[in-house]
Amino acid sequence: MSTIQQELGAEVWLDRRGRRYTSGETLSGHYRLGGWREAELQHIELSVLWYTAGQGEEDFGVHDFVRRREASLPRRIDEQPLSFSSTLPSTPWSYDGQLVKVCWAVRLRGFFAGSKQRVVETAFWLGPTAEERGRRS
Amino acid sequence: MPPSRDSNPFSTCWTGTQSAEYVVSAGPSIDRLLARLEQVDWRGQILGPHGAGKSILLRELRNRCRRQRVRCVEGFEKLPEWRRRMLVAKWRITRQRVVVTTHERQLGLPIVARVRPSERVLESLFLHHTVGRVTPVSLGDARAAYRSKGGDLRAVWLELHLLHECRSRGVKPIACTVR
Repeated sequence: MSTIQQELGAEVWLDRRGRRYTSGETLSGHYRLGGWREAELQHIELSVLWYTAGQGEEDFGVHDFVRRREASLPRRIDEQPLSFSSTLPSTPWSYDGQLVKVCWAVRLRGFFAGSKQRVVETAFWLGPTAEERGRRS
Repeated sequence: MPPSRDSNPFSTCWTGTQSAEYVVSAGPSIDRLLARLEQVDWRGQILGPHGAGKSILLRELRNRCRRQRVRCVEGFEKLPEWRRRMLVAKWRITRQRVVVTTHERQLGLPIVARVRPSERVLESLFLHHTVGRVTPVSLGDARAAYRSKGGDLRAVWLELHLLHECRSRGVKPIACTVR
């Protein structure tokens, strides 16, 4: 288990310590809804996405996306972590610049009664394979 | 740590007009603005300098008036003068509900709000952005940037964003006015 972020008890974590992945690899992890279940949760969306952050206009792209209605989710009393996995694309690679960053993350968004939303997110690195690195250098 | 939006509390995703909080001390409350718009037949201008929070106030207004047909125009001063006059006349004739943001006073549209940045507003926003987040940037840096940027809050956040990046990496902030 590499990292956990929490809000109202919901958690998302990746299986790989260090959270470094290369193009074409399979990213896998788990999530748990915890306290969200008691807060009139209606549905959840789990996405593997990239976005830019920094100064100026923002851009983003959703690579993988799952939506689940409340009825299809386990009750809290017997909740076990739910798993997810996704084969990562070749680009864009993560970039940690001063003015702009390209960020990859698994984002869990909960939709609640009264149009409220909660988000937990776990960031990870997506970089080139050794072969791609060699070609660039 | 992988890069993420949480890496820097002064990223546009936190300080931009889509997500930043409106601080009432910069201008009227949204309820006062709505009351004022009722008085002037729902046609008015939000006046204030660059980076003062006009667009954020307009966003709040838009959120509150979703069911009413209110046209919101940002940066009205950017249009040529003849076009502005034409639009104001057209809106008056068609009784269009409209709120514009502008740097300079526009004749024919009542002022419904004046938005002025201040160090108090800056402090309030700085604390809001940095609560629970680690940053090597201090409130003193924010005040210094505010003075050097002439009160333009948008420019202040860009400056602090760069300062945060440089100090976090131990790099000299060449382009910053705050060292």
